[in-house]
Amino acid sequence: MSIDIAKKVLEEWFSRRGLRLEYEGDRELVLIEGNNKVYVRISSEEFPTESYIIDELSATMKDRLKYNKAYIAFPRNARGLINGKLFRSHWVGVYLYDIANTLGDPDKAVEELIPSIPIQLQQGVGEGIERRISEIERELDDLKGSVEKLDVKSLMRDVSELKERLSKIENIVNDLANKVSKLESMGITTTITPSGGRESNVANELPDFLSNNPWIEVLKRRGGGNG
Amino acid sequence: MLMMDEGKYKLNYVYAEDFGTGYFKYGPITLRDKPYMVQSRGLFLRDLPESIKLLVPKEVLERGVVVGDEIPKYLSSIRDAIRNLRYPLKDGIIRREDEDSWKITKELARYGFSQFYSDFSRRSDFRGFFLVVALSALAPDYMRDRMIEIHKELDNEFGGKLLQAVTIIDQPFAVAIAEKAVTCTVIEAGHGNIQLVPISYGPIREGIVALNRGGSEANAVTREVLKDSGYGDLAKDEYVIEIVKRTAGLVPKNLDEAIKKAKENPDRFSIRIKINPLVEVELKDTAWMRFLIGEVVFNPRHELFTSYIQQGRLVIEDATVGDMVFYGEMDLAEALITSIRRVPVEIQDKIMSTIILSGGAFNWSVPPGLEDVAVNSVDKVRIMVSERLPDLANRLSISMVKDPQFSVWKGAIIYGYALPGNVKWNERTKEGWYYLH
Repeated sequence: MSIDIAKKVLEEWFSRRGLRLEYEGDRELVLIEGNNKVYVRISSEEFPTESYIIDELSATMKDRLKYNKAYIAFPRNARGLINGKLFRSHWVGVYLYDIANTLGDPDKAVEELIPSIPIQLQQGVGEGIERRISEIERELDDLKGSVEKLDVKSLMRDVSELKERLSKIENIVNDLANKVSKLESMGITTTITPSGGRESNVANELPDFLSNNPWIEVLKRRGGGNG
Repeated sequence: MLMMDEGKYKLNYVYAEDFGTGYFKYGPITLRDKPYMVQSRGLFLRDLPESIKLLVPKEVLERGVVVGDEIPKYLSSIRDAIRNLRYPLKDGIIRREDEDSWKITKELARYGFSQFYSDFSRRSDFRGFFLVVALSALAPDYMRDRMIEIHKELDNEFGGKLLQAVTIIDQPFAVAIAEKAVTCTVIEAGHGNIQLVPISYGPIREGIVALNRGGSEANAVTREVLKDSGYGDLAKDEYVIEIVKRTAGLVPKNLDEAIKKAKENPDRFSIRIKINPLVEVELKDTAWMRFLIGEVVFNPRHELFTSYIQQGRLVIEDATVGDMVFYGEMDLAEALITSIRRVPVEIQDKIMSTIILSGGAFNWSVPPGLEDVAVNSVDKVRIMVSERLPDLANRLSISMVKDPQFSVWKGAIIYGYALPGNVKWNERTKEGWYYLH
């Protein structure tokens, strides 16, 4: 009975502070405070023994990683029996509540004796990842669908035809390169000269403006007398 | 066998330099038909702030002059850029004592070689370039000697591996070679002068005639036209003058008839020239003067020019450079006849009948609709020569060079390729290969 009253007092107090009740169990409340999930375990033991406190603490610790903050709420009279060090080391906070609200001020019906040290929420991250994975799966399905719509076979055909033609062109280029290097190694080409016995003609290797230029012969003759 | 080896070597290792007044064109035969070119100018690194000096490579600082695309790097750092930016060639000539210009010339040559040397020097068969230097036909002997000297020095700087031999060729001769004309007259019309060079299996030096006018006289007439048209302020600007000359200038078939027609119907000849979005020049009442701009290049003897000269508005006079007289007022047909008279009689006919025109001052066009009065340079020369020598009229072959910018470089390359290596340098004729080693 006192647990139910305690729940009411706590709920009232939390709601005044803007926390929203998400879940209510026999002895526990789960509240939403902004982005945080807050777990509160309620104890009605006015004079808890140390072993009792440890039991409560271990019950709270069971799901500690599901919540950003976790508290145990004790009746106000338990104040002197709370070992602050023990709670802090387990990142669990302590509320003290007053069922009778002896002070008359609703704000003072509950007191945060030890604040809970908040932790990153494991569950939330998992949900996010799950959501993302399902999104990716959906996108992957879409992609699969559009790839299936493509005519892959005809593409493959085109690619292999292109490969074939490329290798033909490479062969032709290689042939040409061989021919050119042969010609180069011969140095002089076999352009037919009218007088036959004259020195070989280099016309094929000359820049365009050098070929068919009467000056070439005119100037070459200058060397005849001196040489 | 020797010839064949030489021919093969030269197919890779002939190098030509064309020292033009505006641009220096250079490069090896392997560039085929397009040489590299940079403006013929240099920037002296004088008056350089100490802070900038620290950033300049030591050897550049020691040489004290930069050319080509190095110039913009330093231009903004030089306190007196205009005084230190110099154009070494004036009408193709460098004065003997003008050491600054010689320095720039050497730097231009070095700039060119440095772009090719590292590549060529790695080739196993490279034994140095056969270098052909193209100079104005009017270049005095000292210029030819100095050019060889400069290239000797450069070769030493490259460890004696840059050049095998050097020769020099007249620019008009190179033009004739590029144009494949063995017997002809080349008329080269530049900014400051016009050279007529008769050629028969080589330039005939005795026949060279030089005129002391060219594109710059067309500019001077354009200036007077602008003044007479009420644009006295714009007439001071060389840029405006150049644009007006290029756009409005006309060569008349016959000056008197053209002027008569233009005065009768000024609207037909009026022209608007947009210099830039803000400045526009209109020649309307003075449109007849457009014909004076082109005519002065070909024949400055008309009384209109005489009156300009008497008023001191135009200076056209004879000049002497070395032992060469540059005629001021001689018209082009007379210059041609004077030149031909100096060559042996039996080849006169042939030399006269093939005429090749080259150079920027022959760059005139005929606007559509004015064909009855205006002509291009080829037709103008044909008309002038035919009037003097009617017998020749039917046999005249006159042409403009096909590739005005690069024909000299091309001709020089062909000369270097074809002139056999055993033709040694002749001190008297300044021809043949000068071997450096």
